[in-house]
Amino acid sequence: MDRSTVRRALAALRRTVAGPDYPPVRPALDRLRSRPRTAAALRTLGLLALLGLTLLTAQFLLDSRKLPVATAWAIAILSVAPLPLLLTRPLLAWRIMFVGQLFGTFNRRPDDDWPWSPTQILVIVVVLTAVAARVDRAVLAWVGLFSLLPVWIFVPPRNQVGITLLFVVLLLLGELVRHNLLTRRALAEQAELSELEQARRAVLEERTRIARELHDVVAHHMSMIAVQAETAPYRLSAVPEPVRAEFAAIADSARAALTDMRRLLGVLRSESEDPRTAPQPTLAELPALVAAAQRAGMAVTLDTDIPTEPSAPIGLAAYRIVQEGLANAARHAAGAAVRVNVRKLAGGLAVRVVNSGGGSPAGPDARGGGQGLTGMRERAIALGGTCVAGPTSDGGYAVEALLPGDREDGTA
Amino acid sequence: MIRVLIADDQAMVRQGFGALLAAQPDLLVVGDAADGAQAVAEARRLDPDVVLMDVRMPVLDGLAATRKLLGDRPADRPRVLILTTFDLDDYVYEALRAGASGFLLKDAPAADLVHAVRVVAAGDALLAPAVTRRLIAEFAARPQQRRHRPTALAALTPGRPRCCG
Repeated sequence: MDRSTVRRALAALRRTVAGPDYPPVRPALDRLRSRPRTAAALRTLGLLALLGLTLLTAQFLLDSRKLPVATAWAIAILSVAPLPLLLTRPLLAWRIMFVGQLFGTFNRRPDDDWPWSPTQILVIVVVLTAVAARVDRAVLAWVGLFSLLPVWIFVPPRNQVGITLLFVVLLLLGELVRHNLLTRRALAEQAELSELEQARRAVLEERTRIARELHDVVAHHMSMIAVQAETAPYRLSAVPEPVRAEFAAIADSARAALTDMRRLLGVLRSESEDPRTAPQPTLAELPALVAAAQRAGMAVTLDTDIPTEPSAPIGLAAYRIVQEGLANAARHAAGAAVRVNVRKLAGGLAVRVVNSGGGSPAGPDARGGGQGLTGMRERAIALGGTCVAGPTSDGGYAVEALLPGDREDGTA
Repeated sequence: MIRVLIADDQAMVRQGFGALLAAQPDLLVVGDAADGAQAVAEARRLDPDVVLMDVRMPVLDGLAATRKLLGDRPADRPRVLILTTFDLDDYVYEALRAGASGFLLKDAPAADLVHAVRVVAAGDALLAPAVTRRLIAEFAARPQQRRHRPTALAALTPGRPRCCG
């Protein structure tokens, strides 16, 4: 035998005899805690049952074993004591049961099939099964060995094989239950993990989409710079030679930047997405967006007060947030009145999409972070702004975003 | 004299390219358009030799406009030169399928752009060097059997040839 196997076996032995106990069965206890009245009733009933069992056992020990009263009661209590501990302290319950197995055989008649009182037999069966359902395999092996020792010492030979077999079957049964529970827990954890993974992937995809759009905007500006610099000598009259060279250098730089930008966009572009053939939207297209929603049957009112178009990323984000907000309202509150507010504040641009209550399904997942809400939040955060969404006091739903103003001092 | 129409939603591009092309002795800018639908209408009205067509435009994008413009014209007029910010493969394929004669990036040097207009007007095709390189790679990656196969042989072995693979 390998040395590490021996070490493991000894560690298991230590744990079996004196090691820390296994944790309580959480779900059962939690269920009880959430129903205090049932718990109280069960506690009373259990206490009565334990008392009755103790009484019966003591009576049996007095009648058929002819034990002194104090000894009979002590053994009776020892026999029943493991039962209330089963859920919370499985290993302690077994240890008490084992001690009971030894003392319960006092004054037994040599021709008895079982050396223990009927109550104790019942307790042994229950405790063995329950413990096997909780402890590790190595500990379980020791538990089985210890539990079988009294059998081989006290049980008459003709019954030894039968009881040994019974114990082994009970232990195996418990182990089977434990294995089943472990597998189920592992599966549940796996499911939870993959859900988490999915949510993370959704956020990443959304971020990639936002990054793609922002880079797209930058690339268009870059392209404008290239065209402007390249054609300046033709548009302006009498451009001196040094200025012409300067323009050419600017055009070259813009071209180099565009080449890099195209490479970056190639990385960000997803395979599933069709390439855009329409320009990136700006705030100027907001009325058209609202009109489209109205044509689709939504009761939308638009209230904007934008003296000048903000920078392209801000305008794009505001447009997308309104777009998502409208889609959200259409999904979760069909038929409700929707108000879209886009206002210029001192701190930047405030975007608000509010729907009144009363629309159909505004309920279950209106609260959760759908892809749309994730996107809005990510967009706002990417620009250094904020976006909150949640139900309003009158049963409606509001999306509010604050996008920072354009920073012209370049301290960003 | 080569007559040119410029379609782009950015005024800066229209003005810039307009000035650049007008400076050439053999080119004449006859008009411009700010979206695809306008481009189609102006091309039908003005009958230019070459249309410089942006891809991303409101109302009707440049690819759809090209399709519309060339779909109902059996003659080789006008020639369409796609001029865009991104040389996406999808854009290129779609443009070529629609019948465009050229594909160039907006940030191409002025000389390249002028040259492209002349090449396309002459009835030849011209693609941006990067686009050409990718098209060649795409073509070279195709299975060999697609190329140059006598039709009689093709009829005998409809599947992939096994003996000479």
